Amino acid sequence: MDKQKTKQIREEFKQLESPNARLIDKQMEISSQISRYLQQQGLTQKELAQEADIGESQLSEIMRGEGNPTLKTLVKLEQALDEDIIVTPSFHEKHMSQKGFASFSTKREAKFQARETVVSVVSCGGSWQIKRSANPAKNEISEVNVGQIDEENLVPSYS
Amino acid sequence: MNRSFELVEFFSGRKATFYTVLFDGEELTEGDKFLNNEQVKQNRAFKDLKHYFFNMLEKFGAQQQFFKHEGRQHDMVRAYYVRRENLRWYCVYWSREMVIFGNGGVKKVAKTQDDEHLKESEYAMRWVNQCIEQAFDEGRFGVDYDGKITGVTTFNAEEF
Repeated sequence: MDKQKTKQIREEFKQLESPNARLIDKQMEISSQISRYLQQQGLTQKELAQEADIGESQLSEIMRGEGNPTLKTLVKLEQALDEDIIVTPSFHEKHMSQKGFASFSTKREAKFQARETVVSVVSCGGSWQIKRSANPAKNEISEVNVGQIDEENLVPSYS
Repeated sequence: MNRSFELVEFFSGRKATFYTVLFDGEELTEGDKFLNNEQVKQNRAFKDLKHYFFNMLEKFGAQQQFFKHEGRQHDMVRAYYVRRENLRWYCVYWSREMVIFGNGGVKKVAKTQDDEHLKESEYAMRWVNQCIEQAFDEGRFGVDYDGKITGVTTFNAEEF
């Protein structure tokens, strides 16, 4: 075997970059996901195609990781499988929220939320809690009972 | 195509190990011949095939649905090919963790049988399949969970 030539051929192959890399990733992910559900539910591709009312050859193409199915076709498959094939950020948001994690509608909001600090103020006989945000327009001041103040955040004054 | 051959490691990744075939007297393995074929290299789907190939190695494993069965149903259990548009890359599919890649090319005819080169590539893999099936039945060939071959990697034509 010509080891040097072999090495060169394989290196050249490794260096190739597909302009469709992201599309191929998605195609393979979708195929992989459907395959998992088929196994879990003991269904064949033929049965799924019939249930989803799509062509067998179309499903076969999707399963080979070569298809470019429409959203409508994917929804038909999701309905037939009673599972999500494509998940959007809102899917994760819903699941995180069910697990008790806060949900944020935008990255920007999440960023502000992360920087938000609660500053408790006790002065002149009154007690306030200031929710200080990185976005000053969103600062909130509310009067609270002393008993409600988190002592770790107590500060003598706030200006 | 009843020639002696050796199975050599081609590429390995987190999810699978791919082997290729070196026939006696050849300088290049069948897999390297495919990668070095000018028609294949010039094909517009070649870069996509590479991405597909490495995705199997690193992310998905060689899931069976990514391969297309060649020939009539039941005639050969493991003779498959990986395709991207009109590129055909013949292989012996063993498991999600191990595949043996052979040669292939650009399909320009309706029937593979009408293309001598593709037909040869396919039949070469049928021969490889026949030999490893026999060695497996005799307990001389196996594949572990990482897709690494255990047992013989050299196959003498006289024995099969």
